[in-house]
Amino acid sequence: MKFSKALLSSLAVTALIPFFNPGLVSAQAKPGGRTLLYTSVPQELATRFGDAFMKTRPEIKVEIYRAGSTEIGTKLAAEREVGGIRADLLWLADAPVYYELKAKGELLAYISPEAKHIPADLKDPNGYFTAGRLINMIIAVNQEVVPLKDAPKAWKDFPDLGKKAVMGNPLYSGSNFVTVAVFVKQDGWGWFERARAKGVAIVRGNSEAASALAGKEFGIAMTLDYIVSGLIKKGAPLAIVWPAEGAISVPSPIAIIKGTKNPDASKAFVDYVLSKEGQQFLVTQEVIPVRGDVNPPKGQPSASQIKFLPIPYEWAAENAAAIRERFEKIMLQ
Amino acid sequence: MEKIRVLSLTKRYRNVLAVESATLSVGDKEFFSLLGPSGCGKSTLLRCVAGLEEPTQGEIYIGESLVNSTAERINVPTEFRPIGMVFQNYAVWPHMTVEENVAYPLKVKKLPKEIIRRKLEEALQAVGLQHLAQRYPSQLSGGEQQRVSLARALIKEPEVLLLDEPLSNLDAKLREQMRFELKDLQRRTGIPILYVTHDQTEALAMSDRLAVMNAGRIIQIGTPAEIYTRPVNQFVADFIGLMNFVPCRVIERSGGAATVELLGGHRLTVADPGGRDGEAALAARPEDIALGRTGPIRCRVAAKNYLGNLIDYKVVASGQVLRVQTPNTEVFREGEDLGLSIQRAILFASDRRSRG
Amino acid sequence: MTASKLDRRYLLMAATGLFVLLVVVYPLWQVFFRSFLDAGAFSLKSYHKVFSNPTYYRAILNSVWVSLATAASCMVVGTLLAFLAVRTDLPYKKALRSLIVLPYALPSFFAAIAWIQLLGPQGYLARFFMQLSGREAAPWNIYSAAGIVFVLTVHYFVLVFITVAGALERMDASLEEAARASGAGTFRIMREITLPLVLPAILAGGLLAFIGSLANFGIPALLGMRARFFVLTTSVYYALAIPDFALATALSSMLVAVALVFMCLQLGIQRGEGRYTVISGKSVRPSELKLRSTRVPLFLGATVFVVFISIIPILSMALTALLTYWGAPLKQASFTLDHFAYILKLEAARRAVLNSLFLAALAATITTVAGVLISYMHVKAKLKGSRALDFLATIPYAVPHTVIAIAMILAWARPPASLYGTLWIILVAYLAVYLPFAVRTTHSTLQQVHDSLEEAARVSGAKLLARLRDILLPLARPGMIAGWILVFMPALRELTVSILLYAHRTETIGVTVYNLQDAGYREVAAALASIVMGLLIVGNFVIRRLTGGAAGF
Ligand SMILES: Nc1ncnc2c1ncn2[C@@H]1O[C@H](COP(=O)(O)OP(=O)(O)O)[C@@H](O)[C@H]1O
Ligand SMILES: [Mg+2]
Repeated sequence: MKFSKALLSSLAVTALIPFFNPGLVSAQAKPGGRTLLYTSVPQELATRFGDAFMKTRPEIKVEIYRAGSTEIGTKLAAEREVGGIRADLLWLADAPVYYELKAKGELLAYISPEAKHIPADLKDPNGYFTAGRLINMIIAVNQEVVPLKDAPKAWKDFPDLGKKAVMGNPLYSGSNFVTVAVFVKQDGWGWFERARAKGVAIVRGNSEAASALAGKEFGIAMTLDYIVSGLIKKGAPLAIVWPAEGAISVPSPIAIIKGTKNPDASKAFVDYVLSKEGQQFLVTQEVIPVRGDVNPPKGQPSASQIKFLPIPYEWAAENAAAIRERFEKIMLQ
Repeated sequence: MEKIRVLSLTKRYRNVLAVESATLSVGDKEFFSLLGPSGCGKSTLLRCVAGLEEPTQGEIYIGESLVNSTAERINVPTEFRPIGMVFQNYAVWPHMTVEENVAYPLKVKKLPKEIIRRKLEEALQAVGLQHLAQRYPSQLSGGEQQRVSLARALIKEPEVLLLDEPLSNLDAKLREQMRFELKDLQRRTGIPILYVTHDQTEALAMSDRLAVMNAGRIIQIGTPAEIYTRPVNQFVADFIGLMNFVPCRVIERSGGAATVELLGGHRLTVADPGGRDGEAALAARPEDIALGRTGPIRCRVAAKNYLGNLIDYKVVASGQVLRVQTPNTEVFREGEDLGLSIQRAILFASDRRSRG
Repeated sequence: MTASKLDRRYLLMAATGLFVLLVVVYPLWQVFFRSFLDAGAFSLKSYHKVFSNPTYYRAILNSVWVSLATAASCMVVGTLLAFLAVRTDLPYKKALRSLIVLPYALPSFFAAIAWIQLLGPQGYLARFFMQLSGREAAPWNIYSAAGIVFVLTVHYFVLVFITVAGALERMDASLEEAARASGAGTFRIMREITLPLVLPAILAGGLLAFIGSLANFGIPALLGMRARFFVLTTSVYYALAIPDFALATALSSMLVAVALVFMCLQLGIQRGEGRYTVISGKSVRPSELKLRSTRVPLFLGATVFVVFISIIPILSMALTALLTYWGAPLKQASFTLDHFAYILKLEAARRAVLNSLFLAALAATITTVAGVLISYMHVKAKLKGSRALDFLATIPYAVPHTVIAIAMILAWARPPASLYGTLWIILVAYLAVYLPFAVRTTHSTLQQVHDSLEEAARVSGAKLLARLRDILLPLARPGMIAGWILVFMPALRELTVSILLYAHRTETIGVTVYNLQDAGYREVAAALASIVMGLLIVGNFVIRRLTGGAAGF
């Protein structure tokens, strides 16, 4: 029969593919050779950075799993149920997660020799995690919708633009959660009640907020600086406002998982991330460096020039559930 | 030598008792029919023999081998039974040509190509379809599709042939023709046939023996003549051929004969079926009633139908309508007053048309 | 009874049973029992949370009504189009069919983005409307429950279209002719004969659309947030973000429960299946309805509709891929091919295309075969337990894909069967995700093959495999091919499962698109999605050419 032939040949063809496709066979760890990184930093940045590292240490192979921070959180939770986290390295934008991991004893303490060049507020004193890059929560303006002179100069004025303003959902995104924690710790929930009353929109995450802003659906957005810089570079009529109270600088920490099968390779990677060379490479990718001795990307303020709001990490980690719940009540119901 | 034996077969669907302890056997070269009204369980019984349904209880033998036994937990799958079957809706495969359809049973047996070719030729010849071998079923008439189905059932030379109302979808002329062809075919091949039909003319014309079924039960088994002349109960009497039922009263019994009174006091002596005295029914075939200018029971012709060789009358006697068929030698007019006499009749003691 | 005379259907049943057990039951059980755990002990805490927190129980209600509304509109649109495309003399109906199926190949979050680009407050159509009318805003709002229903309908009506088109194709035309001969007019025939006969297919397709929308995440996630409109899947996602594993699984169980209720309802309606057998052993010639004077208006109407739902979203996506950035003014300087060049140079993207082709083809083939076997047990062989098997195989359809991915990690990440980190775990997950599609489509296909056709083969002495090979599969072929494509297309662009399961070098197209999108490379993501759409269109065209129109859409 014609049909069964077709079926057979399609089976045969599909059965052949594995021989051409290396991904089908699980890469076995050669001792000292492989380290697995779970990260939420943008795919391209992660890949390029990994390649740059492997050029300096050809004997080490960095394997990268890149996904959003919710997906990574889910993956970690599932892996915990079946024998522990499989990653060797974790590099997320979601700083509070590291406090949880540390509390659960899932991180390996490692004080990198490079860490002495990193400001103290960007690293864990015991070396459980260290910021690998900085991302800043700022106000972005689409000048075709809201002229820059009319744009809010401070967080406190942000809700006044009402329906023209947008922010990401802290229930999805770690950096938004940190931002909410900062606001709440300082002034309670008043800011959010005002935002809700005036009709500030909530979207899923920071890239959606930035996209919608570029698409003129909104005039201002609370979002991350590097996403906006990318859009500006492509020609979008956006501008960044560094809020008067201070931006929220969310460190994107890197940490080694305690169960790592290859601590040496993992440590080498952490060293590279924190090294001058590594930070300089990040700068070429428009990332704000964590080292004082590395200049920021052109056109961006350096860490010392920006005013930052203090981040209450431990408080935020302790009260995470309550903060989420309250936010949901005020902003989403 | 019996080719099919069915022993106290019962088939129950969730809440329907489709067949109830049916027992029958089909002999070598025998044409055996299952006859009964629609829904009486004929197809179910046939499908149990084919292995398409699993009996709830009972045993089935095909030839020597036990193919079903609930006691021994035997249920030989259909594909291993030496049977051929023709379905009411033909079941010819629309994606195969006539040739492919017919040759299929041999193909799955993996017979050599030459043998298949030879047998295919024979089979197509037997049903007169040689010239249509390359056609697809959708290019065939109903009768032709039915022949394909028949050829397919015969080609593997089964021990028995099962047919489920094979002619019911054909027009009258074709049906008549196929009847003869089927009968002829059986005579030539000698294959025993179990044949399901609800058409009594068909059953009487074709069968060597038949079983009359009603509501899941076999009521009577016999040759067409036995069934016709000696129905065991009113259901059979009524279902087979035309029958007049005349209410009567038993007034005397002696030595196996009973005298009954009917139609305004006329008396008649017939074979005594036993049972209580009193109200009963007398059954008489239209051709067993004689009609003449004189006769013991007065009647009047109410209607007349000319059937060619016969004339079919509706007469009224004492308020009772009777069908009478007479040869066309003497013709009466409508409205004529006549006399009739019952020459042969059967007495039934029980209520009309009960199950028996 | 000797071994050779064994009824092989029971062996096959055992084999398929094992398959369903490994692919569906065991992994889902791993998730399900965790919904009753609280710190390792049995507890109903999570369920209590679901019913005491208004966010969650409102999400259940929202899910149900949005999915019902979607299913209803899918059934109307899908049935009408199927009738036009199959049973009438509408011009260019083959092309119409190909186009109608197209939007289904768009990842659902991409479909949502495409519609935002069109109908959103600053979408192309909204701006066009504002320019025409001089008003400040378009009179519609895509960020609303109605917007969700609309996009879900556009996304899922294909399921009704395909099942109904299949049923109509195989329907005995004499049934309609008989009605015509009885003096009934066209609309009467459609209403009183055709419609009731294909009703099982409509309901089956409607159920697929219902459960599909129930389990869809991308569309309500993108459109519902601004309206503060939440459904079960978005709530599951929240629960995972917290992360509250038990709550997420409890919410997922609610989702499955809702789906099961509706599946049972549909099964109840479809009792007495024999009534709807429309391929009988009698072979008939199919017929076409002459539209006469309505031919041109209907053609125009169908064209406008198809252009609107199929072509415009794809064009909008292609446009995005060609713009320097999304939102750029539509003038010459804004157009660029850089994004395409970028994606073609990206090694990971090429690898992703290969991985996804491999996974989708294999998943489609295996699930179609398994689907046919499972449907066969249930619909034709009617073996004991086959109904349960059929039911179990359908359950994953109602499970959010994220949960299926978690289930796979829980089930298949531990020795002795550790598939985690390889393509195989994604394949197993795809088998679970798409098995229900295959079962449903082959189910209705087999239902339409009259029992006597297989029985005749049994009587002819054909054993199980011969019967499947020679009779049932060829007769079910059109339905199976449709089913295969129904799995292949979504599998090719699948995201939610593979994002959790992929590993180094096993990324899929969906993962790549998502990661690009998430990093703000929306235009590059659109370029990749456009390339995939292009591949599908060309592939479909080639398949149709090669098979003389017998396969493909
Ligand atoms: N698959 C089935 N399920 C339930 N009842 C059935 C089934 N098949 C037949 N029946 C019932 O069994 C009885 C006998 O049916 P059947 O053998 O088809 O009758 P017929 O004598 O007309 O061929 C009928 O009452 C029918 O409704
Ligand atoms: Mg019957």
